[in-house]
Amino acid sequence: MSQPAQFAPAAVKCPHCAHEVRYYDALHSAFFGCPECQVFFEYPETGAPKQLRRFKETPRHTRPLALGSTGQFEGETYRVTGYQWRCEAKSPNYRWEEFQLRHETTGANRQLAVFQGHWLLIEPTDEQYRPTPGGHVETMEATYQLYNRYSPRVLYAEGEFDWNILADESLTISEYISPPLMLVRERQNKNNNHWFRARHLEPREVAEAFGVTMSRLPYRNGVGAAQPAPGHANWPQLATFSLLMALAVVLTHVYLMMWGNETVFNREFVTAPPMAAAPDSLGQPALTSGAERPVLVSPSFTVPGTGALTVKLWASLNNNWVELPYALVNEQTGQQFAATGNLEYYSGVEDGESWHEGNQDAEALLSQVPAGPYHLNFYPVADPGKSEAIQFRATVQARATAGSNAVLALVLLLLYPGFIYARRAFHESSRWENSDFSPYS
Amino acid sequence: MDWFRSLWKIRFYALFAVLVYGSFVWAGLSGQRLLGDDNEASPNLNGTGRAHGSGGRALYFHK
Repeated sequence: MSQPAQFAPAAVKCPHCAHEVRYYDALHSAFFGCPECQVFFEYPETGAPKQLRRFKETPRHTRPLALGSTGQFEGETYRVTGYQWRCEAKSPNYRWEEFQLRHETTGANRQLAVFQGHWLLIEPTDEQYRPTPGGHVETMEATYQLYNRYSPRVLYAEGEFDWNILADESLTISEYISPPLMLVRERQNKNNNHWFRARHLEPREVAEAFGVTMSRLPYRNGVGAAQPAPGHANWPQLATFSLLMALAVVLTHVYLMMWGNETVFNREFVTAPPMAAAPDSLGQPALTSGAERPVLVSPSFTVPGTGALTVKLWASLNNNWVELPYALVNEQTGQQFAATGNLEYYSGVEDGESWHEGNQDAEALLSQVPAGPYHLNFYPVADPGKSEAIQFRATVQARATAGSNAVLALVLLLLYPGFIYARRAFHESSRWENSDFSPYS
Repeated sequence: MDWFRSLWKIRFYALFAVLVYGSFVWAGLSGQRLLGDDNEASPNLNGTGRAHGSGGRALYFHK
């Protein structure tokens, strides 16, 4: 864990205010930032110290990590030896902080950068990468996308450095991301590239590494350049597994449809209005009052196994309607199942265009119908103003499959992955809002 | 095998998904409809669930 800042073993005097600037790396550090007078100066091995710049601005916010404090990353102890406050040359409002870290025993350098509460741990690499003209860097592990390109300006610096940080202002920096990783290229000219590897850190990791409270770290705002999307660690497994399960549901449903839907009854009926025995006062045959027509009873048929039944109705209709309430009656137990088919079909020509509405067929699915002999009772109702006979067909299929079961299973399976997918998509969209190279624009 | 081991990371979702799939298969094989039912009669074993007389229908009315 972290240790409090220790007294630095060496010191140089600021050439401007004579303040004693203490430092840790007596062998390599040659550039210093004075916290008293905001002067950045060089202290060469030989010769007099040289003032390089006096910063006009000083960060007013609380610095999350103190100079000299130590923290541990991956079991290695690092000390904060330098602090910079930087901005982009073209966008001065884009400001971030960089903490120079020095390995306590090897002296290796790393950097911690924080922008709007998003932390990156950066280390140099000897690898040389070759970006494509489209702004991609392909590596064995991942494909990195160009996210940002800028030249930095140093607004303020404090502590010790082994290079002239002001010279960085002539660099062009390109950032390529593959969250949670980032590749950073510093280019002086075409033949002078330096590459760095960066990794996103959660604020909690920084707080634990340096033993500071979360409240001391800057508030996180928006989405970081290399901040992994929600569910990053589990997403490949979640997406693959949920899609496989969805595919299993679809294939099972298809199999059940092929295995089932055995037609056990298929017959045509004709329903006609009953005729009265005596003619009316005009001598014409009279219709019975109301729309009800005589009950029709089907022949017996056998349902081979307990399961769902589909009852399909089709009627020959033209500008007419018929309602077919029916009961499916078990001839052994008397158990009844009931449903209604509402059929209507109208068509015509209006303003030279033909039209039609309604359906000549209807379908009902009856659950858990036990095996056994059955018959159907129909109780037709039709337009009382029309005396024509109506022909209709009833088809019964055993071992029917409910499509709604498959839909329900798919919805349940894909609800959570869909929610995570939407969050990830929103996250990615938000991430690229800060980029000039967004694939979304 | 590694892929199956990696499913440990999503074990709760995997368990839920297997339960959903199992319920779906059970409903399909046993003729259950999980959402709604077109059956308008209360199932019974003595045939008195509806008031159908031989003279016609008593429960249905058109618009």
